[in-house]
Amino acid sequence: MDLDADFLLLHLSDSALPTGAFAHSFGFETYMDAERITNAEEFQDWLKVLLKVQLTSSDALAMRMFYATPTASELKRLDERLFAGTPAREVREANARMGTRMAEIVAETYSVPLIIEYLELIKNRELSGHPALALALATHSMGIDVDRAIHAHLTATVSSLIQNAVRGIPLGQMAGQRVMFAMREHIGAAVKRSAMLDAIDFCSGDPGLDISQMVHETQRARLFMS
Amino acid sequence: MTQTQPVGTLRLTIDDQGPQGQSRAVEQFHQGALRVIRPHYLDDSGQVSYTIIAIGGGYLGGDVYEQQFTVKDNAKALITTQSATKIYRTPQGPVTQYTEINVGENAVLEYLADQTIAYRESTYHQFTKVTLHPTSTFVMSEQITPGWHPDGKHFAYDEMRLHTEITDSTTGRLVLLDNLLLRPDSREGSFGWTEQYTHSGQMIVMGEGVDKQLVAELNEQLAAHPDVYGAVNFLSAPGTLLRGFIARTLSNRTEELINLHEHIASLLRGRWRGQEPVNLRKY
Repeated sequence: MDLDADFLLLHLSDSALPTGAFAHSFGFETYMDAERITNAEEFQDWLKVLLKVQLTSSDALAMRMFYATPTASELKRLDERLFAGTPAREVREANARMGTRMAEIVAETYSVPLIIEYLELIKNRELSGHPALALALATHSMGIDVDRAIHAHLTATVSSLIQNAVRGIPLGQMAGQRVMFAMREHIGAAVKRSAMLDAIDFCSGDPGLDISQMVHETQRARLFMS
Repeated sequence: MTQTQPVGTLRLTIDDQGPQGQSRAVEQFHQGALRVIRPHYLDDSGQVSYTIIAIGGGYLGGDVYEQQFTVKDNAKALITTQSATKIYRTPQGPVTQYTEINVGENAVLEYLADQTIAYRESTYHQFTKVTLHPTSTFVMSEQITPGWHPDGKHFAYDEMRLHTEITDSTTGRLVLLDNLLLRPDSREGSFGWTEQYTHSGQMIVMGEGVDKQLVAELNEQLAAHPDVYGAVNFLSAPGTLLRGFIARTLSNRTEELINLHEHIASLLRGRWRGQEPVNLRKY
């Protein structure tokens, strides 16, 4: 049973999972263009801010809220709020795309309550889809503790952003691994911090980070879709 | 600490049944520190204009303010403030302002506030709930200015939270949850936040006339602006016909942001309703 839980976490947080995460920078390409991210150190600084400001109050808090009330109506409410709570259009669409793929993968592999319903609501364009929620459906039904589920989701997100930075900036493979290891403590802190947040903190953001993600669509030469 | 009775309450309901179809207030209630100046008609469009006054000059810790603006079907209103909203030290607890806005079918509300100045050791929480008919037009702008500090240090306030929800009144669908949170002491790293600027602004516009072309045009104007850094993004969501945009901006001067917001509001009025530019005649 424990092995099944481990398998699910390793499987669904594998960066080779075909969700399309390789196509998104979540705004770091804007800073690359402005030459504010040119090396591993600067990239790591940015990644820490993204994790602390955005991912903790959106993805992590959404998973925690679903675990608190694991019903279809809460799933709908959270999907709606995650989409509405992301001011940058490209990031909204990135999450919707990756969330749809994640829901398809979970529906294809694990027989999880609610996933078929979630996928249908996405296909009918009533909901948008979000990878954190699709993962939470799977981990919750497997009896995986909420902290471990959030930890896996944040680790997977950080890992794919690092791989994108390795290709995009570019960074050396080992430099990427050093960033990954350095993020271990920050991911742990984000999991803990998400437990202290209130409902009112959901999707809080700061103007600079939002603008970096919003202005990306006007950038001329782009490697990434967001 | 917890205050049950708001320090100021203001309720305005506006319809289009005035003389010659002018918009006018059919219900007006104020209590405590919030008042409105008698209505003005700034042009011949029939749009009524109200200016909110906060008596007492500034918001103090523990204060609760409540506002409710209802613009009925086909009515047009402009609501502004008389001067900047000043948030002083709040050792007694945060200042909270709740605003509820409802804009009906084919109705228009322009809610153009002066800057909010957050002084040293202040905490301000603003909750704005907006419900809109998909045929309505809604324009809201605000600016956040860090208050003066004896050390000349910027960002001496403790926390500013501007929480805005926009919902479709016909389907109940949320289209925007904008939860700006500024906590200077928890800033980390050199990315995000207000970048190298001091002032931040935001504008939300919802209306049938918003399309991707308009968003691209506004982004071009922003890119060419010498003193403002910002971006405009299109807003839409499943389950609603509402569409709009959000603009987030940063600058080193309040005036740059106010002028930009008024410029955009004027451009849209001219285009959508053939109306004269916004002229608040405050200065």
